[in-house]
Amino acid sequence: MELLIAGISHKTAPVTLRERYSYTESEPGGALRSLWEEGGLDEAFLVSTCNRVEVLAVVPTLAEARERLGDWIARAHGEPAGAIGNHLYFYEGEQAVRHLFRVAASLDSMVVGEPQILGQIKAAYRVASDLGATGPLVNRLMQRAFSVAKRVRTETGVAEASVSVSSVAVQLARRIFDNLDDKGVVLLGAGEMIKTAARILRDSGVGRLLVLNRTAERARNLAREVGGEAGSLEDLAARLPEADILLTSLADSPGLVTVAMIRRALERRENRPMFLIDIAVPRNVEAAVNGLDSAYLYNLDDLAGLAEANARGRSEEATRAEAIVQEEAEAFVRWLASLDAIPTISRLSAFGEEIRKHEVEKALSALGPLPEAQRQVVEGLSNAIVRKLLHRPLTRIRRESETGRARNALIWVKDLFNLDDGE
Amino acid sequence: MTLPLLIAVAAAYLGASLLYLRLFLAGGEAGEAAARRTLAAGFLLHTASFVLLHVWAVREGIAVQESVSFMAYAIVGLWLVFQHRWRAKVLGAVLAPLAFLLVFYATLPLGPGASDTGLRSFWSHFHILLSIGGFAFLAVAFAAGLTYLLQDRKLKGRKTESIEQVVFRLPSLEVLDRMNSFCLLYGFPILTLGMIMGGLWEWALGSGWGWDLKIQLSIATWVFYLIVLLARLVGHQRGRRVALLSVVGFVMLASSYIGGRALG
Repeated sequence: MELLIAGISHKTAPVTLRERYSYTESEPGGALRSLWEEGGLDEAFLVSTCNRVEVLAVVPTLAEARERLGDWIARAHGEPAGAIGNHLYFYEGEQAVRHLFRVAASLDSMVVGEPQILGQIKAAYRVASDLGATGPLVNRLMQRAFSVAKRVRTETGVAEASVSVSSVAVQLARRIFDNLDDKGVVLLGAGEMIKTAARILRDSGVGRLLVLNRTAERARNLAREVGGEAGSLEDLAARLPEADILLTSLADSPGLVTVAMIRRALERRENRPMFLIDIAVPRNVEAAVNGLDSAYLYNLDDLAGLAEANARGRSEEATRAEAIVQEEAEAFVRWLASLDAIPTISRLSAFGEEIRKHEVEKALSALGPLPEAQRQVVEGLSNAIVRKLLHRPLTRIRRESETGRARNALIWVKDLFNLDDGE
Repeated sequence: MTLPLLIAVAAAYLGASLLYLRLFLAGGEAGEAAARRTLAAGFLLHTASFVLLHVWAVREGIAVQESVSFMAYAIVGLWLVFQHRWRAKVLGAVLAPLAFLLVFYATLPLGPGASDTGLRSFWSHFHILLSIGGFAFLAVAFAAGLTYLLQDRKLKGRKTESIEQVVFRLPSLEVLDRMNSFCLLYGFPILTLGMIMGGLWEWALGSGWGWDLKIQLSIATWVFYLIVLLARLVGHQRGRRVALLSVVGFVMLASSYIGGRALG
């Protein structure tokens, strides 16, 4: 039983590959089911966001599983098996633990510290859990990952860096426009990223905000929050000329904003510049738009690249966060190593013995002075009960450990008897 | 007598150029005041040189050097007056070197043939003042256009270096475009008036309509600027295209003024 992570992310694969991922958020579980039902994995968990597709699995043998997971990821991106080898990464054992913690704590995010990833991982965990793909090890790992994320968020300033993509967008906007207060912003979508960006744009004093979204209610909510106007996505083409700044983050809408639309909008705007910020994956705006005069298109990769360069000075917080991750990963690995049959057996026996002794003492003091023979009987009785109660579980653990599949049983036993205390 | 003074002017403009270039490369506003003061000091010396020229040297005609020197004077003067209007101080990095080059050219010894003789008529003063005024406006349009092209390329390039390197802290496209528009809108009519005055002067001299290289280049340039302005006002063109056109237009204008005069 080994822990393995296989994945591709913004660190290893360009957006052109990432946006070809064939499973979408609208069918939660579909992707994991396709993998899980092929069998051969003890436990599995899959997280897919705009910037990463990662499988975490508990597997019988590493080498075989690496190949399988790698092939599955390639196919999910519409590539033949083995074709994206240079974009894939693998983490095993302690490295896998550390990687998961880093991802959950948003240290591996394109925008370090952005808050969405934790929610995405929690949702993915629910999906895996509903599917029955998680087991004791993944459960434990996830609980720790959530706690690491929380520690990093509360103990370090990493989360503050998350506004940086929007800030970079504002800085760029100021390179295009002299004043923002007479400029119009059109927002496509009403998700978390758009919310953050909308707030920052409003705070930097843009004139008008218009929120267009598929769900009218969410558009209205966001519009109310940031003091803008809400509209339907169908109005997009008509209202595009109002957009000095267009910010898009719609799910499942690749190429929604076409070159032709922007060209028409620029004509209607008498060629006044348009700043287009596309933070969706797959991208909402056709890449060729940047080739139009007076249209400046930035996608998430571009902004994050700039933001990262900008935030290099903030590495101190990141260092502290990495230390937390390291500490927690080591603790987890220690816990994992403690899942050996022999120490567990001896701890469980000790646990039984401790209770027996305690209860016998209580009984004896209640009974008052007893003759030695009767004392022996009480001792013998308590011994027999504890031994017999523990006999079956202990034998079972010994037998499982000989087949090398005792880990789950051990996790259960430790949880049931609360044997982790004092570690 | 005015030559040492002109050399001092050239030195001051060169100093200002270097300070502006440093500003341009380093980004930010630090050192802007030093650059502007150096340029202003050069401008005062330059003023002095014209005063001396007129007090001491009453001559027939205005030498090519003097009109070229006057072009630099007009550019620097216009820039010093208008730079507060726009958040685009870094344009001095284009205009100060331009002024330096013109003054430097004016200090070069030229042959006796390089003088416009007989430039003493009533019309000729208007012709020269207006043409050079128009030239100064179009020079600023050129500087704004050039900076626009640079900023546009940086923004389109989306390099993932640091943001300072990407945008160089150049003025915003909107400001540059507005400057470009303003200078074209004023520069072109002034230039046109200057050219009409030139025509009237030639007519007053009774020398007939010359059709030399200078005239040809001037008219071609005028037509070009007319097209740029029409594209801007009627065709609603702006931004990169107009920026590019005003750079090309100014190169034509400068060659018709300087090249035309030197060769013609």
